[in-house]
Amino acid sequence: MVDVRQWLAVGLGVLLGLFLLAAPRAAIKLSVLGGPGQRRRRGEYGSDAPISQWWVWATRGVGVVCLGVAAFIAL
Amino acid sequence: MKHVGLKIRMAVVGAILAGFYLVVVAFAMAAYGTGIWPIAVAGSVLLIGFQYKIGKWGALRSVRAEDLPEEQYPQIHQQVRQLSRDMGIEKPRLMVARMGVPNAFAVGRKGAGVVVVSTELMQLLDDDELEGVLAHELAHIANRDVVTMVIGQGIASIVGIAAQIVVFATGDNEITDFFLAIIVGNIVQFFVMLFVLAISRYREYVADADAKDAIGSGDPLARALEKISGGHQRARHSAVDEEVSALCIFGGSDSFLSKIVSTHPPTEKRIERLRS
Repeated sequence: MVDVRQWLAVGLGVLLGLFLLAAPRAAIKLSVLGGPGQRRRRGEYGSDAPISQWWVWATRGVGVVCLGVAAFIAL
Repeated sequence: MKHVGLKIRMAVVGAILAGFYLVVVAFAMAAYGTGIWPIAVAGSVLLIGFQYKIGKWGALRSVRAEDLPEEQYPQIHQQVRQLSRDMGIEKPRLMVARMGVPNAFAVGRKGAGVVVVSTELMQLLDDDELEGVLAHELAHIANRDVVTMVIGQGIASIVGIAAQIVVFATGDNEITDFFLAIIVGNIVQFFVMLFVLAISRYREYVADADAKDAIGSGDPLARALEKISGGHQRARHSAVDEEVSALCIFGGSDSFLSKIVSTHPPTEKRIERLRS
């Protein structure tokens, strides 16, 4: 019997993992932790603060972990 | 009635946001009985209040803001006093910080507001342009935008956490359930944040329009934005060349995705509206 939760975990895990890999900056901006308030205060007036490379690659790292766990559950 | 179109759009997005929150409370009531609602509401208010207090304290601390001495900058204090009177708010505390970039922001609420201006911004802008920027920040305080954004982010946090709890509580406590709960919580929180950021962009247009009304012209603020974005564009192009956009698959800052996750509307559009 197909375990719906298992397939959801794999499907959504792959989806989120790919999103974090492909658009890390957008993911950080959508996160409550990378809050809009902080971005306003650190950027130039009228724009958002640029996101550091460290955070970009850390987010991609989380994306790889997501894909890894999804693969582990699928196999 | 001012800004009718913007207010209608904001009301729709705000209603959707409130809807997310009500769904969470309804879920909590279905799971734990109707007696849970006062606890759910009190918990939400506490969380948002905590985020507001910590956010204000952290904002001022993070830029090492200091009081802007009135004896050194009498004109700025006088401008803010006059603008505050025109907007019907108490004069906020004025602070200055060396931020490394031209910037200004408002924190707090009506009656307890703070406007922070960077030394770089004061050096870059002419007096009337700085007045436009100050009027925009005062409009944020008058319109309770800081509080609105804290509530929006609070709702995104609450809905995300609630989604995690629901997924985890309905599972068998296995790694799959744990993983699914984290994934669903994050996706839901990302989704709600799209609406919060839409509100943020609407608030910018409204603050621009109010600043324009307060100083009688949108041109000074438009010129300020042009000056700042001119420097920003040059810096951005050199950074992009340097890092090849860090392999950014979804294009640069002009892409649709970039626009919908931005706290501000495109500067060109703001300038256009300010001059219309």
